[in-house]
Amino acid sequence: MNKQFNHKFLAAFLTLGSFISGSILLVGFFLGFDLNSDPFIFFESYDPLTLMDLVNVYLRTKNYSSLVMMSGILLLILLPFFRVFILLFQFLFNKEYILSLSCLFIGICILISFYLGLGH
Amino acid sequence: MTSISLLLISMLAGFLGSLLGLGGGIIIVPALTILFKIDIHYAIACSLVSVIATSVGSSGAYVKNRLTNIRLAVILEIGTVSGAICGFLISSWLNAKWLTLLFASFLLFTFVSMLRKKQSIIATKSHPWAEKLNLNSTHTTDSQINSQYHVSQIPLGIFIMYIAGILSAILGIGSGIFKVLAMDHVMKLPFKISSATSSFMIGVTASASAGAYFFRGDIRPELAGPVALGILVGSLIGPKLISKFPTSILKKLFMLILLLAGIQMFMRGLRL
Repeated sequence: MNKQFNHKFLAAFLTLGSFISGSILLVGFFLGFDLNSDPFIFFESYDPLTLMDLVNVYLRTKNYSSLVMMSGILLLILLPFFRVFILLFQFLFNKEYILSLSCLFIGICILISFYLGLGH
Repeated sequence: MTSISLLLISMLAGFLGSLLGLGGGIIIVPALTILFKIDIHYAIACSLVSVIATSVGSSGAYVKNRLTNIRLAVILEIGTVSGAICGFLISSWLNAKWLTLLFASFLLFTFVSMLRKKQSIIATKSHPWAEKLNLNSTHTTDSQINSQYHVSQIPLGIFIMYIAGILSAILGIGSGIFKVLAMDHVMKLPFKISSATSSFMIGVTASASAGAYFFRGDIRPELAGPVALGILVGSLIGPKLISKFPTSILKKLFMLILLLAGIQMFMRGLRL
């Protein structure tokens, strides 16, 4: 396995990914910044809403700051998922089939968990 | 309490977490529930985003410095992601009272684990899977000697990772403490390797459960946005200031916070 390429590329991918998602979150945070509001009052009791309902509420109320932050959060959540696929292709390239299959299994498990979230 | 106070607390959590080698979840969940009176379901979902932020932010440097055993991480992640799926399904059955009590027990367990200082033993024999998959590697010791290490007890390690994955999804934590315990004491890896590999794996474990919570609509950007941002900034500042802060005093302070938060959450859980 070409370890040099693998380590450097992975490290750059993780650092760049955290920088991009951090920047998106920063933009979203300042878009909705209000020193006097208390946004946490709505979260004192659990009120389940589906993702689509949530997005519709934000669109209806023109709450673009939350939508921008949502995209930053989604990118952050997807970073480790993409990292698994980078490793999958790396191992496949080096003909390490057991490790490739392990990566495939992990990727499928993450996709199943996303699906379970949509179904609940 | 406003978004700016949440941002500052999250920066402190990221800063402390990066200095002490822990994820932010252990600080964020008690802070959200005790200080901001947020329902624990939202706190847990939000905390998982902070766990990913800590892992992604810190593992880049560890990977670059070759401290992470990527091949071993891939094998152990089979256990953690399977556990995360089970944990997410279990979490639907638990109400706020049980989640709070479970989290309080976890805080007190972490306090006891930090109190007990065990001497690490490094494995001298490899598990057959480690030989077959080329999981053994080398590391630089404190005395700057390049030394080979072996990986032992892989099936037991995967099982402990499965339990760590369940706890991660239920409690919104990275379960780094269990991962390091498994790699350090069961698989007998050098501590630095355990800690770097754990940090790398935490992101995937949390991604599986955070994705499920995100698509269920439990991750609210008003909470998770400032938390993730604060954690990212705090975990970037921490390593740069590590030499200026006495880690032993910070560790004692952190243990005191753990104990107080554990007791407070336990009392709160009993009242729910």
